[in-house]
Amino acid sequence: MASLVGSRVERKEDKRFLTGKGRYTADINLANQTYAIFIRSPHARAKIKKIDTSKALKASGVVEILTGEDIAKDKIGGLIAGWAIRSEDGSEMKCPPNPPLAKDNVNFVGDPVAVVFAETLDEASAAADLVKVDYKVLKAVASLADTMKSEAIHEGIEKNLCYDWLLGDRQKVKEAFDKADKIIKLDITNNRLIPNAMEPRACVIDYNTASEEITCYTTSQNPHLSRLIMSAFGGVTPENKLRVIAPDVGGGFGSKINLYNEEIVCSWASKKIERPIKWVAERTESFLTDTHGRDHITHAELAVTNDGKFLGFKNETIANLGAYARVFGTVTPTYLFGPCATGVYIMPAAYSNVKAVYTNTAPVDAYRGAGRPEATYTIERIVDKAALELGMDPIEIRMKNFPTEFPFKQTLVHQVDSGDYVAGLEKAKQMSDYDGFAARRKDSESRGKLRGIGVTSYFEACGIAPSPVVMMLGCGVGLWESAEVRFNPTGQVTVYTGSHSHGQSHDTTFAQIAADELGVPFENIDVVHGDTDKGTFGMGTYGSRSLTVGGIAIVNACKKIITKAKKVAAKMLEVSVDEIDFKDGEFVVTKSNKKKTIGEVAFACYLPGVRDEVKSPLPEGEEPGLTETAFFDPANFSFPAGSHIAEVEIDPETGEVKLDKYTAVDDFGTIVNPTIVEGQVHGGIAQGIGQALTENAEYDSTGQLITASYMDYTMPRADNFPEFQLGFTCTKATTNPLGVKGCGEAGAIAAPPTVMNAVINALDGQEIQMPATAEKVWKACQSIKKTNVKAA
Amino acid sequence: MKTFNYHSAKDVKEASKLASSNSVFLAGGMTTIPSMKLGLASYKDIINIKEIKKLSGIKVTGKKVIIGATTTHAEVANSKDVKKAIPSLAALAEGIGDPQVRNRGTIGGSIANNDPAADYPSACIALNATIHTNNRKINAEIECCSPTFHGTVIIILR
Amino acid sequence: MKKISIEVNGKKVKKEVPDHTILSVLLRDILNLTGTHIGCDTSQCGACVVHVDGKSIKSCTTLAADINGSKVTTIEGLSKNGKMHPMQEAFKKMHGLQCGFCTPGMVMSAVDLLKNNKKPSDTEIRDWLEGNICRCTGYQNIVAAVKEAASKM
Repeated sequence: MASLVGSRVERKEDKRFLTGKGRYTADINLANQTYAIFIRSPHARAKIKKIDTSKALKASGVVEILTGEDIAKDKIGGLIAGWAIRSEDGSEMKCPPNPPLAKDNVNFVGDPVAVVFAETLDEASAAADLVKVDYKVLKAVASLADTMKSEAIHEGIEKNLCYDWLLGDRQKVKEAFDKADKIIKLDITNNRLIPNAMEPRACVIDYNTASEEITCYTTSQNPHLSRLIMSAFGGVTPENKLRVIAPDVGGGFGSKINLYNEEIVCSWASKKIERPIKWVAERTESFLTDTHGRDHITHAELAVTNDGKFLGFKNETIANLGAYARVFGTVTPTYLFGPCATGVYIMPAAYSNVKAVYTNTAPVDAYRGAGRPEATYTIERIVDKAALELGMDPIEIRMKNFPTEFPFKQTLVHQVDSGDYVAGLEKAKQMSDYDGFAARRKDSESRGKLRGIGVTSYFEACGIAPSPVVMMLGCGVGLWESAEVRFNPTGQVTVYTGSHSHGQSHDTTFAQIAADELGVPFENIDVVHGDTDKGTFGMGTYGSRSLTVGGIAIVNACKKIITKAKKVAAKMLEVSVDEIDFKDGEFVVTKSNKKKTIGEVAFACYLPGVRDEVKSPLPEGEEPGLTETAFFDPANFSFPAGSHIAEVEIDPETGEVKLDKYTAVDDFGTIVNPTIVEGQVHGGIAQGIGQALTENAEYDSTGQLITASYMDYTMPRADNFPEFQLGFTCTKATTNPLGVKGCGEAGAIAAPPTVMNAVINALDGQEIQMPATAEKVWKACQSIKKTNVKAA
Repeated sequence: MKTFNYHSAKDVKEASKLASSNSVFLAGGMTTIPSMKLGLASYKDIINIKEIKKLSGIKVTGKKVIIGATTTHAEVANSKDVKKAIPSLAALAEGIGDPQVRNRGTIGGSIANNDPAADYPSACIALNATIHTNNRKINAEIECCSPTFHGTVIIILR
Repeated sequence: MKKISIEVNGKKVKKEVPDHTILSVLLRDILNLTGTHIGCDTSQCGACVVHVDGKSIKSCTTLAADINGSKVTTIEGLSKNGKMHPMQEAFKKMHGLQCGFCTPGMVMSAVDLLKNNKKPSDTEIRDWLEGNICRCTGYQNIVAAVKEAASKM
């Protein structure tokens, strides 16, 4: 039987999506449901003086209107920061309270203050217009650069500083810098992005008055985690009276990790009004209130020798948390960012210092890459700058500083188990016809265009994460993953996973893994996820962890199944366990043709007896049934890596940047399904290119989000991209039996510096910040013209 | 979206009769409907003018290209006659929005909305078009920044 | 209230709805055809694309009253007798979808493209799909799917 792991298997889940039979949260309607509309602050910062719901309560169809006072009265807890970070001086981080409905203060445009429930959506909308909220508007703090000099927006949090964190050794860095021939300096902004999964957030809540159970259908990447937070921290209802279901979810990219205000409020309210509630975000609401991503200001310095050897590196960053600290908000710019600050390179000394601050903007949290794109962008831009200043080729300077012996202990934290960065960059160089660039540049110039080429070599740390390590570092939960494999009597297998698929194709790839482990046909394996009533508690999908942690839990559960089944087979075949080999779904007695299929063994486990005789196929002490559970806690992060190369052509008359070529060579270790992996790489690269060229979430000085729709926030479309050329190298992970590393975020990590290095190369080294809009590029081209005129 | 009364006019006379200061004519709706959904506009009456035959169609005679107000961008973009007479106009129409917007959006709607960032108003000036409404003739070059038209529109582009 | 009489996926439908009823609301909430999705509020994402009288349009920006008497085809109406349309088969074969949310609109838009242009180039496909935003796939396999469908149709 050919191995399915490694094969291009078509997806199981596609039929329902292609025929309109998917079931997303907004597709769900419950009998007798009410509709919710949230009343949100139009101000970035204000005190709530009074809320008058009297007129609205009398409006047609209104069932109830609830405010921050009501939710506080019922002692419902607020939204939490999931990771405790300590500052360099040892002090704990400072987090403001974040009630699900604001009672006293609002801190960003969109911060919810009240909610209307009505019989129809139109009636809820009309009633919402009648709710009068009296605000005392305060001066908003919206500029990241000035935040620490501004008024404190949260009581007791001076300088708006959550923490001032350090990773690394300042003294060693100083010594390295003292020895250096040259110090390369760079100032970078990592532009704020809005994840914009195509499905807006939604929740549909049902309250069962008989069992007192709340069922919350929600657009979540991690329903079990949401259930834990909603009961333990929200206090909405005991955990065993709460069921959270994330059905089909239309993309997440990190924005659906958090338990949001709306889910808590609607779950609490459903029990109060004893009616189902439906809430669906409008896209503008999503823009305003989904957690945003990135938003760093960085000053970095790289100490080098004249022949391009890296001696030391410092990264000093101010990271925007937005108005509140959310689940991964505090760790994204620290432990997910800092350890990756030095990139792939041998860097004898380094430190990462991060000051995370609050502003009157939407909360910032994990977005595809979560910390690693920010880290990679800075190091890859500064390495290119070093190459330029030293007169070296960008590939040459990178090769010179690559580690070649693995496992490789990075200076900052990570023990990288395997990799071959030289092979990756060589392959990218060859695939992209790097040596042919000069001729292509001449051709562009003959047509009046500028042409640039950009290289990035990246690594990342994902497959999060080893529980003892992360909990030591302040994480509030372990980051293991679970799997329950249930072999049904009639031969079908159900795999319950604690991971969640919102586009990652787990229904297919996890079935491939189970099929290989159990020797059961792929069609007979059903992967179930997303319902806290089905299967075991799991931590969900983010941080490219589903395969490396969730997939391995499945492998381990399957191995337990085989261990038990082997014992039963041995009893059935009347031999000892050592005389049994398991291969291709069959238990075969070595050197004979006696065998039992796994299906026969499973059947016997559930029906352990025969007519007319007391005879059990089960060995002494073995229980009936064939179901096993495994919880897998990884020993380490996993470390995908690679090199990407891009070419751009710029029209100096308009500043328009055309992305002409994009080559990606990635090392993800073992690949379970090449088609799925390619799709993940395409999608990640597309988001990274969006960051580099078109996307920017912009607030004005009063804290108004001026890019709050697709009219103003430029999402990349099909005609913005060339065909991506993908290649792969493989060094297996040594920390799991499949050798997998994960692949979901790599594209978003590598693409921004790849594209920007190309743009800046086209502009002869003139630095511009992302996104490289036509206006910015055009201005830079004018600058080049002036310089050339001066020189001439 | 706030509710309204939807009417369908069978001729220009009926459309004019139904019109008031709190009404809007509806052709493609590619501007009107999003505005209403976002709460930027609301009307008591919406008057569909797509059933008025004389308002649609493309005719090329001698030196004139005559385009009815309710002609969609897709129709202008795909018209062999327009491609022959004023190829840049067909190309302009093909660049508006996206295919679905082009299947509904109309030249009359674009000109009546007169968004400075839109393509048709500038094209009218460049081509020295005459815009015929039920009330008057408008020379685009002279009245290049005039406010929203009131009335139905037939457009003649020279 | 307006009496709407249309044909949806080959079936005659008669409903009385408020004048301001948007077509996507009629389809999703009244006819329970939830395959057509709502992804934005500025008529730009294309998740709501359906066919009205053979042309692809945005159902979120169309009044039900405005298409009275028309024939509507939604994603649910693309398969015939349980057999998927070649475009649907092609999307499956070429992995042209991940989370599936943009997919109904994307497929309906692509089907309209092939009505207008039987053998489109990559550029023509990408240009046509500029009214459909996908956040998952990076569009590459979608383009491959449309070409695959074109080769089979």
